[in-house]
Amino acid sequence: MAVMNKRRFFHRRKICRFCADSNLKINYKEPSTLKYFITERGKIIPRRISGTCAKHQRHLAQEIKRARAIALLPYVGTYES
Amino acid sequence: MNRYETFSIFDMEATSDERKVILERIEALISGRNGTLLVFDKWGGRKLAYPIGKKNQGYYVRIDYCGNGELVDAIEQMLRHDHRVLRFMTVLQASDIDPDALKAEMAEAEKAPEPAAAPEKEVTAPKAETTPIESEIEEKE
Repeated sequence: MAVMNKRRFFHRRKICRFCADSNLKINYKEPSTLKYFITERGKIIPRRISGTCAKHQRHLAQEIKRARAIALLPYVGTYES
Repeated sequence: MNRYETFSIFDMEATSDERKVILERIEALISGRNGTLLVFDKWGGRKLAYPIGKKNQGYYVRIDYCGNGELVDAIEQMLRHDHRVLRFMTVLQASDIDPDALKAEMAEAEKAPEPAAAPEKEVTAPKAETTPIESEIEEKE
């Protein structure tokens, strides 16, 4: 990183969970995996906080939206298993 | 042939016989249009994340099949008309696949304890490719 950011909030050095563990699949049929990536209100957690890489974040967002369409995840509110 | 997956939510108040009728009709549709039904995965009754049609529970069924776009349209049309189906969603899993090869893979997966039928096939294929290369190297040496 050549340029230093003057304001660094939420500087995370987390690794992407899905890159680290290749067995972890992102699938709209598994809300139990997806629920870690939505807030209490049901919103998708931004990448800079969850630490996922760009590719997996795109995949994750698409699968969360699919799960919401099928009522496996809520649009608003927490996921109760 | 493309591989599709249709996720449908049935009304919990519908009896299992009524569900069977609908699923059998879908099966007839699939075979009628030269498709291949792979799996009828019944998830059973489940609490919905939000009420659909004022109902809080639904019976989930996942239908895995191979076919073309017309088949998908026909299945969706049937599900749309039936008032016992609350919601459905079709997802394209893979395009241009051979249903017979896929069925063989799935049969192997059922026999083998690990769900590694596909990786097994991939592993054997590279082995076949590398042996000719090795023989070429030997010849050069």
